[in-house]
Amino acid sequence: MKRLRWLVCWFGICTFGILLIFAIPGLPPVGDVSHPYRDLAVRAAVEHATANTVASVNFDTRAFDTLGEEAIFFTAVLGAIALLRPARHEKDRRLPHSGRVLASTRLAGYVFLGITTVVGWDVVAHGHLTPGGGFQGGIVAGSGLHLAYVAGNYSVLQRIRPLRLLEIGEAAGVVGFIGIGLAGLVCAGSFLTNFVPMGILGGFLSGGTVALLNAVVGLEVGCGVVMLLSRFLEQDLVMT
Amino acid sequence: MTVRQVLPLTVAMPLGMAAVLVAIGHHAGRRMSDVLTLLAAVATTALGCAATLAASHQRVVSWLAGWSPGHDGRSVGLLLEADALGAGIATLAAALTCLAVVYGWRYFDEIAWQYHALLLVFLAGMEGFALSGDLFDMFVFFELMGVAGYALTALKIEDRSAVQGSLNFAVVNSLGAYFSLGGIALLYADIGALQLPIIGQELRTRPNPTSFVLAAFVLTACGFLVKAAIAPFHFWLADAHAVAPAPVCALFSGVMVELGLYGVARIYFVIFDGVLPGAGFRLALTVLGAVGAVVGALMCWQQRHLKRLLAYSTIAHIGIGALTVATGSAAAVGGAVLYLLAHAVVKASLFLMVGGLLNRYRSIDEIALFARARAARPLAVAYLCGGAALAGLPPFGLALGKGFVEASLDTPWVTLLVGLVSVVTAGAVLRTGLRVFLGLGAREPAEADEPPAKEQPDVQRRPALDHIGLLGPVAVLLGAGLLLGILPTWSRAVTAAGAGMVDGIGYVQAALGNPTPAPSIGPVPIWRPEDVIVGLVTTAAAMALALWGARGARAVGPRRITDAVAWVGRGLRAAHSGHLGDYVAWLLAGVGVLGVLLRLG
Repeated sequence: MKRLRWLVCWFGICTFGILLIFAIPGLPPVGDVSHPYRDLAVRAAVEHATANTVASVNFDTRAFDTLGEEAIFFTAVLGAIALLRPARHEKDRRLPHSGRVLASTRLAGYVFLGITTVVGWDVVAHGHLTPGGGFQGGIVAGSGLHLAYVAGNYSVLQRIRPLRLLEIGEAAGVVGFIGIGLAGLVCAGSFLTNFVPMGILGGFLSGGTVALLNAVVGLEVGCGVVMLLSRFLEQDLVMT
Repeated sequence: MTVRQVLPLTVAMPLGMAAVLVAIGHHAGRRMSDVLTLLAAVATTALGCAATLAASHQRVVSWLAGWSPGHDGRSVGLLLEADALGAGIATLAAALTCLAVVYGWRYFDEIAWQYHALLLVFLAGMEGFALSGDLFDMFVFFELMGVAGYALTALKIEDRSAVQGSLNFAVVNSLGAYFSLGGIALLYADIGALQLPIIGQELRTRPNPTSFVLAAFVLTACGFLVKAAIAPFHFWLADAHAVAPAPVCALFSGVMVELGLYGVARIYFVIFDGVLPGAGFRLALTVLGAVGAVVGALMCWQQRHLKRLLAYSTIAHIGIGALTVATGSAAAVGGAVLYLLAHAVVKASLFLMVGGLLNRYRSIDEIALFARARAARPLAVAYLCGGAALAGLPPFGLALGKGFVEASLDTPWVTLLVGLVSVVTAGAVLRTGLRVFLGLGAREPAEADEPPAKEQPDVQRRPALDHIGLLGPVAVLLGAGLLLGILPTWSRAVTAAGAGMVDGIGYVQAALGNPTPAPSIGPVPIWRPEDVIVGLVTTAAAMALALWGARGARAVGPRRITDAVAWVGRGLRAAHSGHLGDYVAWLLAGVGVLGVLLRLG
C-alpha cells in the first residue's frame, strides 16, 4: 500500500511539473510594460482620490470580494470558537498562569503594548493613504494586546479584553461593511458604491468609503484576533 | 429597486444575519436564533426566486459598486451574473437551508447561534459562488463555503472521527483551492483581468499556445473538481458526510457537490470553450466521470454505515453528471441538470431520514439497526420511495432526466452505465430500507468484513420518528422530486436553464452590455414509453438486488468470477483508507491524469 501511495504521488508530481514547464513559455515576459489591469486600477484610484491604489482595489473596485474575505476571517474565528468549546467531559479549564517576570520585561511589555496598539490603529486609519489597512492594522492591534499577558499575567489580559464586547465588535465589523454597501445601494444605485464625497487625493479625509470600510474591517479583524487567541490560550484542559 | 440591484443581497443578507446572531446569540435564546435564521433563509429564497424568474427571460448582470465596463469592454469592477441555472442553484441552496433549519430546530442547544451562524455563512458562500461572474470571486466564495463547511463537519467535537473527517475535508479542499488559485494566477498574468466574461472574450481573440491554456484549465478546474467529488478527487467526501450532522449532509450532497460541477462547467463554457481542444475536454471528463460512477456505485454497495452509503451514491451520480456535461450538448446538459436536481432533493431527504434514525436509535449501522424502525410506517414508506426514486421509478424527476439524457446522447454504453449506477446505488439504499424498516432478510453474522459503523447522534434527546420536523422536510423534498417528473412546466424550465449554461458567448455578451434573450428551448423532456419501461425495469432490478443483499448476498455464479469481484471490492475499500496522505497523492495524480487526458484528446 505504501509503495502504491508513493507511486501515485510521484506520478502526480511529475505530470504536474511537466504541465507547468510547458505552460510557462505562454506567460508574458518578465518586466513587460503592457499591463492593462494596472493602468485601469491606477486610473480608478486617482478618480476616487485614493492615494493607496491597493486599498482602492480592495475596498472600492473589488470591495465585494473583500466582503467575502472578511466573511472568511469571521467564519474562521466563529468556527474555531465553536470547535474549541469545552466538550461535555471537560468540566473546567485551567487558565494560563505566568511565572516570574523580570521587571525590565514588564516595563518593555507595557510600553510596547501602548505603542503597538497606537501603531495598529494608525495603520487602519491610514489604510487609504499608505500601505496597510484594516486587515493588517487589525492584526497588529489585536495581537499587540497580548503583550499584557507576556509582561504581566493572564488576569491583566482578561481585564483589558472584554470578550463579550469584542464579540459584538467583531459582528459589528461585518454588519458595518454590509451597511456601508447598502447605503451605496440606496444612495448611488449599486451595492458597495463609493458614494461619499471623495476629498482631495492624499488628504486624510479622502477616498470616500475606502477609509470607512478599512475602519470596519479593522474593527472586525482586531476583535476577531483577540477572540481567537483567547480560545487557544484557554485550551489547557483539565480532564475529569 | 430592480433585481439587478438587489442581486448582491443574496450574499449580504445571510452573512449579515450570521453576524447579528453572533452579536446577540448569548442573550437571544434558542427560539429567537431559530426564527432569525429561518427568516434570513426564507428571504434569501424569495430573492433567489425573483432572480430566477428574471433570469429565465434574460441574464441578470449586476456590475458592483458602479464599475461597469467602458467602451473598450474593460472594467476594474466585478460582477454578479445570474443566468437561469446560476440563479436556480442559488434558490435551491437557500430553500434547502430553510429545510435544514426546520429539521435541525433542536440541534446543538448549547451553541445554537454558532451553528446557525455557520449555516448562514455557508449559504452566503454558496450564493456567491453560484452567482459570481468573476473568477477570483468564485475562489473567495469557494473558500467561504469551505471554511464554514469544515467547521460544520467537525461540530460534534466529542467524536474523534468528526475531527478526522473534517480534517480530511479541509486539507483536500484547501489543496484543490491552491491549485485553482494557481490557475487563476496564470490566466490573470496572461490577460490582466479576472472577470469571467472579459477573460472569455480576450482568450478567444488571442493566440495562446495550447499547453498554456491546458495548464490554466487543469489548475483552475482542480479545486472545483475536488468540490464536485469527481474521481480521483472524491476521497474526502464520504469521510465528511459520515460525520457531519444530517441537515449539513443534506446541504453538502444536495447543493455543494453539484456546485463544484457547476463551477467546472461555468469556467469551461465561458472561458475555455473553443480555446481548449474540445475533444480533450470531452475525453477527460468522460473518463473521470465514468470512473467515479463505477467506483461510487461499487463502494456504495459495500457500506453498512448509512451516511457513508448515501455519500458514495452521491459520488456515483455526480460522475454521471460529469460525463454528461462533457458532451457539451445543450440538450444533454439540460437533462443532466434535471437529473442532478431531482437526485439532489431525493438524496437530501434520504440524509434527513437517516439522521432521524441516528438520533432515535443512537446508531447509523445497517446491521445494528436491523428491524428496529418497524413501527415507523410513514418514514418507511418515504425511505423506500426515496430508494425507488434513485432507481429511476417513474414518475419521479430522476427517471425523466435520465431518459432525456439518454435520448439526447444516444450512446449505448452511457445508457448501460446510467442504468448500472441506478440499480446498484438504489439497490444498496433499498437493501438498508428493507432491513431497518421491515426487518427483511437475515441479520448478518457479526463477522462481516466491515467493522460496525459508529457515530454520535446529532442531538441529546431522542426525537420520535413521526415528528413533524422530520417528516415535514422529507415530504417537501420527495414531493419536489415527484413534481419535477410530473409538472411539465417545471421539468421544461429546469432543462432550459441547464441548456442555457452551454451558451458561453451569450454569457460574455450579456456582461458586456449586449444582452441576448435566453436561447430557445430545443427538445423538451417528455415521458417516452421506453423511458417508463426502462425506469420500471431498473426499479425492479434494484429491488431484486436489494432483496438478494438483505438475505446475506450469497454468491451466485462461478467461483472465479465471484472471487474476482470480491478482490476488486477489497482493493477499492483499501484505497479509500481514510489516510490523508493517500488522498493528497490521489489529488496530485488527478491533476496529472486530467492533464494527460486533455492532451490525448
